Amino acid sequence: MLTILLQHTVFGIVTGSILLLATIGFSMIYTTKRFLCISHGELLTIGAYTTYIFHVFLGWNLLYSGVIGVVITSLVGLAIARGLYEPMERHGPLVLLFTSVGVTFCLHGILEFIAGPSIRSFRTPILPSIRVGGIPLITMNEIVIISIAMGSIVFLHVVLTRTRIGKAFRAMASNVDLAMARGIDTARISMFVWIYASAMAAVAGILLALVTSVNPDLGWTQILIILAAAILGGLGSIYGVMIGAILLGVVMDVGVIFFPSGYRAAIAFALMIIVLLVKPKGIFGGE
Amino acid sequence: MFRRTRIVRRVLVVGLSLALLAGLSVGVARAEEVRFGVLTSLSGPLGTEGKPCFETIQWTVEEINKFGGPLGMPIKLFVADTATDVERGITGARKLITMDRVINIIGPSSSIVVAIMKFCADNEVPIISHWSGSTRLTTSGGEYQFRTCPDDYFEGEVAARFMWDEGFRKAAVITLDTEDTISISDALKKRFAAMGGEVVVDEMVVGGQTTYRTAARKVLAKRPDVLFPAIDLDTLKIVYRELYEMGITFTVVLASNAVQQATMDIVGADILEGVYGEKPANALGSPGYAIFEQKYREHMEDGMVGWFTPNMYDAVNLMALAVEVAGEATGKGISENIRKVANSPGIKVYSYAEGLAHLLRGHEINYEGASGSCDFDEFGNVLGYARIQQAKGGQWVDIKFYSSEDLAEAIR
Repeated sequence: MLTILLQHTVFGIVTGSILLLATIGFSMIYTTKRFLCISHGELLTIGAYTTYIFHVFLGWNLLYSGVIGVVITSLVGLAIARGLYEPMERHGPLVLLFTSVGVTFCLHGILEFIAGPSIRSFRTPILPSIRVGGIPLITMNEIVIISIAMGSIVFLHVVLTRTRIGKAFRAMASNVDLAMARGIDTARISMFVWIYASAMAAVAGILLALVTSVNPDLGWTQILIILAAAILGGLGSIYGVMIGAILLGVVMDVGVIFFPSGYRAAIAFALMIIVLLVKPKGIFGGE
Repeated sequence: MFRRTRIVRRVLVVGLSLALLAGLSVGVARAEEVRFGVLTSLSGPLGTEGKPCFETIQWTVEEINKFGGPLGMPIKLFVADTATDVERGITGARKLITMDRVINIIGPSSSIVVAIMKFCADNEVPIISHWSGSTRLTTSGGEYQFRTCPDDYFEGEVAARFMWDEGFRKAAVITLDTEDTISISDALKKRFAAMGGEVVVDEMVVGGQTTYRTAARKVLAKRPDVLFPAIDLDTLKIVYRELYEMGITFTVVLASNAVQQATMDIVGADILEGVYGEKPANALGSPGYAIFEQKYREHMEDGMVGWFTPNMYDAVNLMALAVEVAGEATGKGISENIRKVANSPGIKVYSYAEGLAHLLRGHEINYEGASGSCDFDEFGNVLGYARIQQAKGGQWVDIKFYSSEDLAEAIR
């Protein structure tokens, strides 16, 4: 039983790492814009497909293709924000929420139309797991995923605490009006948030496609879990959602030892409800 | 006031007249064409296989139209993509029947057939599917529901027999919770147990998950001789990779849902080497298949005959011939006459052209297709062929072939 628990905990950390990357951006948008950007999930799919195009169609190395995919997705995310969300900001968070739902459906439809029927996958070798004490514990791909997630956390921490733009972001997240009054360029910070959030979504999408497949539903199926992780950690708390995402990943994957795998999402939401009953503002109580 | 009333009346009269004329012209247009509805998977898990099947409908209809079409009217196709999704399938069927006024529905997969069959029967629109093998349809169709592929029970029997003949006695089964996969899995478990085999793991999984490690771990823990994953390609991509990473120590026989050429690219030809798969087959070597194969190579860029394309070709030909015999382009006409062209007695014909020639001379016909004899039983089922294939060098290679005669006793 201990072996099984260990295996599932490790994969839970992998799941949580991908979720973390997807949720950071979602939470940053909420922190600065005060609305739930449902279309964030579709950026995962865009990231995976753009990478696929360079990697498989053009035959580029997966790393370079991934970098291009992240850049393109960032620009798409910024364009959507500039073209659709920012003009709607004056109408309040509810209008923004429904706009993002509309954007989600449009992007999903466009992706389905362009991508066509085929299920696709990256050309990466599948290797046996690394065994620890005779137990197949973790694969190289999974080590890469965890490393990228950890690297992203460190990078974001450095950005938020050591750079001017990071400090300005925290000031804006705390109080937009006060930040503007103190001369902070909120438009520039907004641009940073959209680009960074979209880039993280793209990375999450690429890594998710690496362990599953590239398909138009890739991000569509993740957005509710992203929402659950953000609420669990505490909406508005960047560090809270990081812990929330890892915790959710581990609980979902350990949970399938006891429940059928189809109930993973149910496990996630059950945990979210239990936490909200005890701590209505999430574990780290952002909003 | 009086003047305004007169103007309103005139506008009404002119408007109604135009509407009537428009209605008449639509009616005339409808009478000059035979409206076939295509409701099939052009995307989603069966999209890869659905595309060549759809292209087969297109060129088969072109061929039929070259002869003037049934009753001298060209067939016009109205298409709805189900994306292999039940909800979309239902929406597509409603649109095809109520808006496009089609007289039949061709090509839905099992779960969609089950969902729409009552609606189609209520509207007197027959469904014919080239790939719905579900055992839920074994005794439920016949009047407005037909299929040109054998029942999943046949596939389950073939897989179980192959596993038994190869000396496997302990089987693990992973089943995706969809109509098609449950149907094949149930048939296999029943037949394997009847032969004396033991199902040591029976795990049901839900699609769209990022991991299936629990199922993989349970299978590995029980050390079966053979694993039968009745899952689609999306799920196989993850399940097989996780099994491989954890160390496969047993033989794998895939259910037909995931046995596609795309499987090699999606899962990886190198790690699939040696894996078996069961798949419905066609009447290889028969005159019907030879005619089909020649036409297929003429029309399709990829000359390799796609899975279920002969079944689709037969479905379209049978529908067109049934309209010819019915003397009217209606769903009821097809339903009442399809057995007259498909079953004996009658002169054996192997193509639409041959069938049409005999019908015009007043002969009775018995269509013998590329997929098999296409003789419908009282529930709209046909017997067929199946094969066992093996992944070798990135290709699926036939290694064993079963005809309905081989398995007649078991099927009964």
